[in-house]
Amino acid sequence: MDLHELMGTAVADLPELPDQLGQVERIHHRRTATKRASLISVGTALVLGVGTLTIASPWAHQATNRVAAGSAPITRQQFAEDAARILQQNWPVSGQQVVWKATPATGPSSQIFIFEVEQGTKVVGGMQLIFYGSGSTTPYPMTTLEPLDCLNWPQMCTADAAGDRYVSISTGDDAMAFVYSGNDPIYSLTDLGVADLKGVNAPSPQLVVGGSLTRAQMQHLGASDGLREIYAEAARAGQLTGSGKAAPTDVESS
Amino acid sequence: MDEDFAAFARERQQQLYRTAYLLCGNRDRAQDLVQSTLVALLRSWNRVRDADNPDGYARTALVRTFLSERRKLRREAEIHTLANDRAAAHHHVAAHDSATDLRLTILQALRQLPPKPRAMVILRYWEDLTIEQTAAALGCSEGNVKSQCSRSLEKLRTLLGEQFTELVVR
Repeated sequence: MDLHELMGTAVADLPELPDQLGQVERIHHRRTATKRASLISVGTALVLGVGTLTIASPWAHQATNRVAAGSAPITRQQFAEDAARILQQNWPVSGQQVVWKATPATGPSSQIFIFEVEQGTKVVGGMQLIFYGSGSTTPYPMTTLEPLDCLNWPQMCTADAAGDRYVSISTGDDAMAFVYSGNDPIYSLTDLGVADLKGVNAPSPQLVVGGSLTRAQMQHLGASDGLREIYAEAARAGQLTGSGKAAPTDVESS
Repeated sequence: MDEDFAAFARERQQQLYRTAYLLCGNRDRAQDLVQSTLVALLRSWNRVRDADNPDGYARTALVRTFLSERRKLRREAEIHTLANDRAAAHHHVAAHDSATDLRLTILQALRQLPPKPRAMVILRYWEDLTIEQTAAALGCSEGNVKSQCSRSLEKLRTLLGEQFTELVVR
């Protein structure tokens, strides 16, 4: 008896599953209504610390290699410089500079922005904003906060970076958020309250980073319950203190 | 509700249920997994319908939902355990037969595998996916699938004992 047959034996006596469609439809409608309500406050904001940076889907503008901020297209460089400025304004450690680095080689529709955190001449941390997609799959944005040794993502992080944890939030096909340890997701949510990516006007993901946001501040920023949980988990994992930043504030999960 | 989705879901939900049951070893949780998977599929139905392989899409959604919920499972302190299933099985099966023992032994052996390797084994040997398809479904490398499956099969052989020496990798 091979393994397929063994597993077939294990499910042979399984009673028939009652039709799930009615329940599925009720859940879908409820979540759609909730999502619509939350989008009123979430909008298309990408929240970084206490600053707000609004971006849209860059692959919608591949032909011109431009991304959109709000309604007005801007260049990648302008986007990156704006992001660096906002990160710098909210960076919890004085004396450290957030610097946009050159974009590495990317796929046909991936957009990756890398920022390094420098203290004097020493690089003490890094951060990526990744908008990932390919020509053969539905693109989805992924915003990632990573430790320094994951800066060469995905090469470094597909190996087991033991003990490293990072947060990635994606919308699109799966609308999932993960907190990773190495290559292993340790925490995730399947319903973030953000819209699926379906076109140019789709909302971008939210990522809240920083060392000292309170729960009230996060609520004020429009972070969903799911994001608040992720933030709390990231704080617990010490991720928010990576790169020698300030001590974490353990935000109570909602 | 989209009629295409309804037809798709009705046709696939039993197979998804069986796979979910192998993943989690519990009927109630398997039903929840199927439900969550179908909700996710409905939410993205426009893309799923136009995809080259909607079945693959559904399988991927199922295993990712399973993996995403594992932390929650830990917190719930395994309220529903195989012991419940064993008790239920014994309650419903008048004669404690060898088929029941076999079923529970297999499920218990699968549960000894960590969630992700378990999902790999089930996709590879129950759903008969290729290494490439399994890697794509789980978002990992093919090398990772090969090594994890190899280790998992070795563990399963140990757990299942000599009575399953005919265990054959397909």
